[in-house]
Amino acid sequence: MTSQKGQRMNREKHNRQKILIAADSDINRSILSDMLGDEFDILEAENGIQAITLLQRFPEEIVLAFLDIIMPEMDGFQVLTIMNERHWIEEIPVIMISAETVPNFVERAYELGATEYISRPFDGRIVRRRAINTIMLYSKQKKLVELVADQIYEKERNNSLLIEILSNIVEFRNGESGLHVLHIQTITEQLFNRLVQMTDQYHLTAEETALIVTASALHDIGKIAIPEEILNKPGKLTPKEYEIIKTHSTQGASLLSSLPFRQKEPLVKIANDICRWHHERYDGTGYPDGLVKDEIPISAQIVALADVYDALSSERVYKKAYSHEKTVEMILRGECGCFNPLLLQCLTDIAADLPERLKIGALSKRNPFRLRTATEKILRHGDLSVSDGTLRLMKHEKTKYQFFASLSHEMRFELTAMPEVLSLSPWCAHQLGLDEVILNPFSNEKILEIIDEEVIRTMRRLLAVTTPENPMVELDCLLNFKGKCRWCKVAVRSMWSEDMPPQNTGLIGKIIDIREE
Amino acid sequence: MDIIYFYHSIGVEPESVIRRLMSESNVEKYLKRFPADATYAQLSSALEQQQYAKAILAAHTLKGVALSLELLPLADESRRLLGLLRETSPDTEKISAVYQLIVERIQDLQQ
Repeated sequence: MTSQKGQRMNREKHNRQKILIAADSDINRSILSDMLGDEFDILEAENGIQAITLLQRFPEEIVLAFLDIIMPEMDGFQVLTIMNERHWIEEIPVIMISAETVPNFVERAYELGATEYISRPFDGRIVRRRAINTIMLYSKQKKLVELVADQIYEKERNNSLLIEILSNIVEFRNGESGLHVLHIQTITEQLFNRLVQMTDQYHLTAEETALIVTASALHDIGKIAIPEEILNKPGKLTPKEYEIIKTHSTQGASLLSSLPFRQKEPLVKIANDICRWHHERYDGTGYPDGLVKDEIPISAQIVALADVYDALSSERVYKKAYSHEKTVEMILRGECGCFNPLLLQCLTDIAADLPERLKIGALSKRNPFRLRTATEKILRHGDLSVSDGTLRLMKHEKTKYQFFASLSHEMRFELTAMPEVLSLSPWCAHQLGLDEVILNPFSNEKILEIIDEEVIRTMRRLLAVTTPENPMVELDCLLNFKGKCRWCKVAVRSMWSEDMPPQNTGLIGKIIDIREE
Repeated sequence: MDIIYFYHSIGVEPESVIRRLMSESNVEKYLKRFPADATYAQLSSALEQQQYAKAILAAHTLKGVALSLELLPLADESRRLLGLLRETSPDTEKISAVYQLIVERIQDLQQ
């Protein structure tokens, strides 16, 4: 065989779909494997923990899992439960097999999301047919999800693109760079994220917040109706000119309310509020309506604050840029009007990271991450799983990460909450003499031999006070490496969900031998 | 001795197992692996050491393999033993887990 041909065959074999078979008897695994092995690569697991390890390692390649119910270490129901917690069950169909025919076993398997339940002894041809049908059904559903996701994605991308074009036209005329709109969006988003962590008094959903962030780009569209000489006048404005400038808020709102249709679209409604009221002030001294406190919609209150921040910290025809610190100080001192004290608290809380985020926000604008998360959310709400197509980028990142992780001699670990599963990088597992995947690690004897319970308690205390903004914790401690105690630095970062407010989903970390540091 | 004769000798009609496992050669292949399978040894040692949870697990696995290969007399015996173990075996592992949990909670309380 020529080496080229050999390589091609390897590649074909490598690309074949994989089926996971988890059962504790190797004869039983072989029987299933022989029934399916012609067309699929078979991955075998002799207990639930091995099954979870394989599911974790090949999430995209595994197209079907056969799970025995009764297995040592972790049984089939526990594996199913974890597959539910991690949403794997949405992508990977499961066929349960058991010699038990007790009705509540069968029922429980279906309740936990198993697609099929097969009792022993089973017929080879029937199992094979069921396996292929299940895989085909799932792959058809995946294709449909992908189609829908791509369409939503495309639609949202176009919407957002149009809004960006429109707001850029306004800014161009205004003599400002396109950065102002990007900054307003980033600051608005940051303020909202902080606000929903602090209070739920404004009843904001993730969808509304996303719409407000998009609509914030339109806050100044009314300036299209202001004569250019006034807009770009370098010197001080006369009182009359200032009055004309001030009409941009009502002009913007009337532009939107004169749209011949689509008045009920949430985006139009929100943009209208923002345009009209983003110059109102909390104490009623703003314009055009002199609204007081929460008479001003929260969307407009936040964009107003974002607008003032960006106006002060950027250069304009009539002024130089203030530093970030000076800007925050001026706002907090009330030099730019009165704002909701809750929002000033939000600004104080996000202030430290804001300059960096504004830089990142401007750079990542071309990367439509926000759109993708919105698409993902819509699909989740529709009870569909996230499509391959829209998550290509994340997969790419994940593959990259796994590649580098496999090459590096770094001791990395990941702990997921509920159920607690600890996954170690191959090198870390090797160094500590542990398995790569460990369920309920803190009641695992081997782990307790490596790390003192007191250290675990201290770590838990430190982690309990982490937040999405301050997720890092470091601790020096003694770890037992296969009998040898070494001082190590353990650096840990808590992980948070995209929800509002964010939920803690676990942690990632790295162990560094202090001598090697 | 061929497998037809073997199955008759243990009182089992072989048609069904050959149909299910798709060929005589498949059945023969699995049967030949059966004596080296560790399940029965695990069952015996678990019973000897009175590790009942392990014994239940092994008896269940043995039942599964025996059913797959239609070694019906063995499947029946495994099923009977499994029933007995589940009904009567003292569940020492559960009590020790519950005991440990409670003691841990009390220790947490004292801190």
